[in-house]
Amino acid sequence: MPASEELFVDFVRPHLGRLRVVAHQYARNAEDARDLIQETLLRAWRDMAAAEGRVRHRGWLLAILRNVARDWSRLASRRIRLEPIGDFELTELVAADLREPLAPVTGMTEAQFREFLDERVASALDVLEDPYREVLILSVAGDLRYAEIAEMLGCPMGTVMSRIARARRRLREHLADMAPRTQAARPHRP
Amino acid sequence: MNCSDTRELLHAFLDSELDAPLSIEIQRHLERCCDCGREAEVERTIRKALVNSLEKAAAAGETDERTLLPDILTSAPDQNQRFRGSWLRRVVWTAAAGLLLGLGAWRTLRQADSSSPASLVPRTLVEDFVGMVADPGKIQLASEDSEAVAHWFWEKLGFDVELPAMRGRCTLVGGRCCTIAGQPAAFALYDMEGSPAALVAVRLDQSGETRGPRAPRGSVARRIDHLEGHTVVSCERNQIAYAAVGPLPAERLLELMPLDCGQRDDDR
Repeated sequence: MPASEELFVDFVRPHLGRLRVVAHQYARNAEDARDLIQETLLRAWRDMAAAEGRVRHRGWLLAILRNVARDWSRLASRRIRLEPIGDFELTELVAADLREPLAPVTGMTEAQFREFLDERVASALDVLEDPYREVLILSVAGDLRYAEIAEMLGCPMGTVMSRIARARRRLREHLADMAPRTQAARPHRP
Repeated sequence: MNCSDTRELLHAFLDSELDAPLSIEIQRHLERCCDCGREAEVERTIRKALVNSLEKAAAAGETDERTLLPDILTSAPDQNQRFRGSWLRRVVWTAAAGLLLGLGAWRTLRQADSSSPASLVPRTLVEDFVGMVADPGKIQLASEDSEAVAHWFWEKLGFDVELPAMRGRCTLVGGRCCTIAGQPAAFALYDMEGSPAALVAVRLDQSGETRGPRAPRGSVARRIDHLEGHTVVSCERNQIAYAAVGPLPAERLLELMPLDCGQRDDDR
């Protein structure tokens, strides 16, 4: 394998896991996710060859993946599950909103809570609104710093912070809605 | 640091996004305040469950990295027509298309770009082809009658698939309806003098969006891939992407392609 390809593969390999996880959130099925990743790597390869010497990192790869997903979402032939949010949709949130108590997920022991999460967290994420869901996935699945997400989305970091906080709150609200309210569940005492 | 301020910054703290002095303040508050401490613990647990859930979903649908790294990076050096770098690939694609069509009428690079189903899935096509050959039970309609199989494709998939007329060197075995990259696809299996080959047809996007200047009527660009001992010849015609796959030279596989796909009728 030529040296340049070897360098590219060495760069990409540690990030494939993260790419895979994020791609599965954009794509509707494993096959589309694989195509999404392949297209991302192809574009990354071309870009890397064209701009030799520039520092690359995982955020750059995820930005390409996001752009591919955005391109595909415009084509009727592609089914993209998560619609990448437009930059204009990112707005500053009222800070007071974030100071309110988080939605209670009570009525469960710790073991019950963990079991409940294992069963419900994916569903709660699925019903999250797209703007919140995307930033949460980039942070949690993509393991990107807020600054990297801000650079990718072209917005201030403060916007990303408030958007992620709001996303986590909405997730918590969905989980609270799904929480069992049976008498069998013992209240958790601190 | 009070509870209200802590709640506002809690998620940034848990994501290690705050500077050290602020993080220490919040940590101290969490240690002193039972309610906030418990909330932080709940949020940590939710985050961990979310990560596990996302990784489990991704792991369920994927195999090893060799299926992710595209052909351009994993091809053997002695395979023909493996191009490194987008500029060289585009030049060769354009030149090949121009030569084949003879008069320089070819589609723009955007129509042969990597967003079309055919250009993204040579590996998928080869894998599906190998699977079909290995398991004849996957054939859904066994017939040598190309008109009957084409009509069946039309009934099942809703688009016309141009199957080659029967000739001595090429016998239709049957057809299968499947999906490629989420799109309905026709898969016709042939016996070419003892070697299996397949013609795959996928309808392109229906949005009507123009992806570049329209090519003159009947002119198409053609692409040839070599992968794991197989050849994939692909082209687009009348909004359908065709790909002929098999362990045969491209010249043989062209016999399966619709007319005008880079070949004159009297060449057949």
